[in-house]
Amino acid sequence: MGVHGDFEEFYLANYGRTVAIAAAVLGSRLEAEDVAQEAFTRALARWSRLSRYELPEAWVRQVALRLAIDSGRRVRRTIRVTVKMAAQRHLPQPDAADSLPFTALGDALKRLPPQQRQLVALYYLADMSVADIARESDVAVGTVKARLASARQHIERELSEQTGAISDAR
Amino acid sequence: MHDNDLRELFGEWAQPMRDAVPPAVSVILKRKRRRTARAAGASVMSVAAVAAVAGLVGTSLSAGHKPAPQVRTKPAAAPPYYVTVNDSGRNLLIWDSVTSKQVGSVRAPVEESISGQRYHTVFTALAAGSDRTFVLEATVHNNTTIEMPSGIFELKLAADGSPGPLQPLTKVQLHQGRIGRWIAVIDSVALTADGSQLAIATNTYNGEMGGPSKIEVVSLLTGSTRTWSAGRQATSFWSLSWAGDSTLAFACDNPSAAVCVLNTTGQGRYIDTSHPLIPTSLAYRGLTGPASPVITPNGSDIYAQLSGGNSMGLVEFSARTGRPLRLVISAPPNYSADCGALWSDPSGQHLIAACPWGSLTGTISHGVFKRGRNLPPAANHILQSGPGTALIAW
Repeated sequence: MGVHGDFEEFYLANYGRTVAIAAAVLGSRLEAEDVAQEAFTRALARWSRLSRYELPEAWVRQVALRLAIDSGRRVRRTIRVTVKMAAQRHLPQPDAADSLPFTALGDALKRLPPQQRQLVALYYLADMSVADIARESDVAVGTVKARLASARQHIERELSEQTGAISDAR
Repeated sequence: MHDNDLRELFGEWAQPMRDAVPPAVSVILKRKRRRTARAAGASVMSVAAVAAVAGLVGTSLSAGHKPAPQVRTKPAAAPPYYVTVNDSGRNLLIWDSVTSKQVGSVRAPVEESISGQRYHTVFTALAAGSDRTFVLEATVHNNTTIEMPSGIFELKLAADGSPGPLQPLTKVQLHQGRIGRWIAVIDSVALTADGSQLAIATNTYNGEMGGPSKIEVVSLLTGSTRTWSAGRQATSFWSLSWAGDSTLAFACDNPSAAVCVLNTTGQGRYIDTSHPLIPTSLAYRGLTGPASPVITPNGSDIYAQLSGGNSMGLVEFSARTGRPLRLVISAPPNYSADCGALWSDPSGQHLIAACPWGSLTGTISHGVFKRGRNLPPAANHILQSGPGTALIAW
């Protein structure tokens, strides 16, 4: 199997998972797909070296998370443009294909600080242990536990509030 | 709610994304080509700069592909300086290509807010211009928020490679990210020889397909912007490079990759991709599909990659007629990865190419590429795969 063949197998096996992790940080599936594709593009560029890693997917995950944070910054910049466009009556239409922001969990995630969003993505979507997250993030295990507990409380509160709102509406 | 319940909820939330069929791997290959091309487009500008400084270049190819007046230029030595951005984006490294040594660095500033938050600046290299000038995008962020105001900066190196102060280019703004149903991405940036105009190629995607794209030419002096586009056509532009200060060569979709040339004098308007200078269908020695074009600063030649089957090559084309002139570099047998030109001197006689088997420098003489010194290892690494781009400047 050639260089691209090996890469393709790796790409097909890990793409969806990477999109999900990035989406948890970004709150947008479309942007998460763009970030995942960029992460795999970078992986392909150094595949001869990466393919010898024990867990090349960990490298892609890290790059995707970093890009997701950067992308979040760009989105904020775009929001400024969007505000100007709105002022000029050129309002962008919401994209029906990008439904993540409209799910209860997606909405709860959006309200988390980015650092906690990243933590939650690693713990619940990448299935990493607290110890592994602490090692990868270069913070103490206790700190990870505390932040995770805070994020969990926040999500639970958001979800219960939304459930309550739905019940009230009924 | 138990931890397992929450984990299950996340699993359900993520399942549609995990199950989705990924786009074909060719999408990733195409993005990688654009990444290489962006480096190439940015890098070649330094050469145009050399020509301008020498007062030797006054090239103006027309959008209608009229023959360009070629200017005789003296062959220049290999470019002495590269600027690369390290993985964190917080350090610019300056390299001497002759000695392969790092000659300087610029550490991104860290500022502390009143509340004690530390804000880091992160650089992305955009383009190289005249007189050892580099254009960089800088963003500011801390570790807990994603609030990151950004700006464009200019860095000038002294003759010995030592960096001057970072100067903000307040007239330029880059717009990327979500715009309506599209995600806008800047794929290529190139600076004119005199450092007065920045060309920016912005393409749009929605995760599965491309949308309308544009090329903007921004005056760094006045901030005025002229825009060219292919209307509502789903197309994209990348691998920008300048010849002189009024001719842009770039890769364009037609609908597959082709090479287009644009005369940027006058106001911006429509880019007709139906008549590219080098069409997709062009075949030379069994190779097709021109990609990653770089025009020489005097406007005489265009280097572009062609591929076919398990082989590829870097081919020199006439910028006047679009005809292939010679195969400059061919890949080792069964090596089908990308190989693109990064830099050529004003005469087109010195060339640097980034190829998977090592970035190559060399001289073209009587149609033969004679391999010279390899680029510094650190630059090699970043030229091919690093974040942002590595830039080459005279």
